[in-house]
Amino acid sequence: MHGFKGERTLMQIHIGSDDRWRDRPLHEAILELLRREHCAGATVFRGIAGFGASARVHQGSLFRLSSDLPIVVECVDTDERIEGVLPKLDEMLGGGLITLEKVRVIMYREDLAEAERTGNWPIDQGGTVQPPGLGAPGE
Amino acid sequence: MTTAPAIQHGLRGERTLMRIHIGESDRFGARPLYRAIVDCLRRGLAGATATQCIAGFGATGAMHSGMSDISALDLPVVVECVDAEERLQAVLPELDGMIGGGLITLERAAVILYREGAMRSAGADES
Repeated sequence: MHGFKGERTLMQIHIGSDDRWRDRPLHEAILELLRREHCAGATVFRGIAGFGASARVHQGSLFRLSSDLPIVVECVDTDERIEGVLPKLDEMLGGGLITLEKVRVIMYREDLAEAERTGNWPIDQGGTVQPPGLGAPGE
Repeated sequence: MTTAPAIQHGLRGERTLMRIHIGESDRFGARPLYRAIVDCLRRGLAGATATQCIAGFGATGAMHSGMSDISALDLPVVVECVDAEERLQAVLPELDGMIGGGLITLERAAVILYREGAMRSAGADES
């Protein structure tokens, strides 16, 4: 269990659904990596169309069995942990885009029984959060 | 948003993006949790989008993936909502009562456009 509330980093990794790493889909390999590195969690999104560094449009079609659709893998964790996995991601990604942004984690929990949910906000807010702002724009 | 109450938000400018990560099979009462959350947000917030994801893991460490077995029935769902910070803060206690396990994050968002479809001809400044 992470003591996880407060200012954290959201990493988004944009790749393609056909990208591979050592004979398996790259997004699966990335997910495995993030779990192995004890990241707090990760989610894989599939886009329905997009284009990237190659400027080639990727779009699904009824008439094609395989089309290289955009995949976004997201992960929220501490800045240090994210920085720690970046070199490994660099090794695995042929082409793609990785972005980092600042987020505030308001809730992160495994499964709290309904009787224990107080409804008294803040739920379990801690860390460095200074509501209500996220800091000055453009900082 | 066409059936939502006609609230004039004047949403443009610096707002907050809330993202709620849950599981597709999570329930609130008899209903899917993501539906209950969307309905909850619909009572007064600017809009909400629920997205089904194809794989992921969270606080339990268990992998959820469409590729394998029973976890294919519990894929990650992310519900997103952009509104004023105070409005989101106001709805958080209710969300706390609804969500057993998951992740909620807030981040800054610059709203560039927010309008109903019919308003297009009125020009880009009308949002």
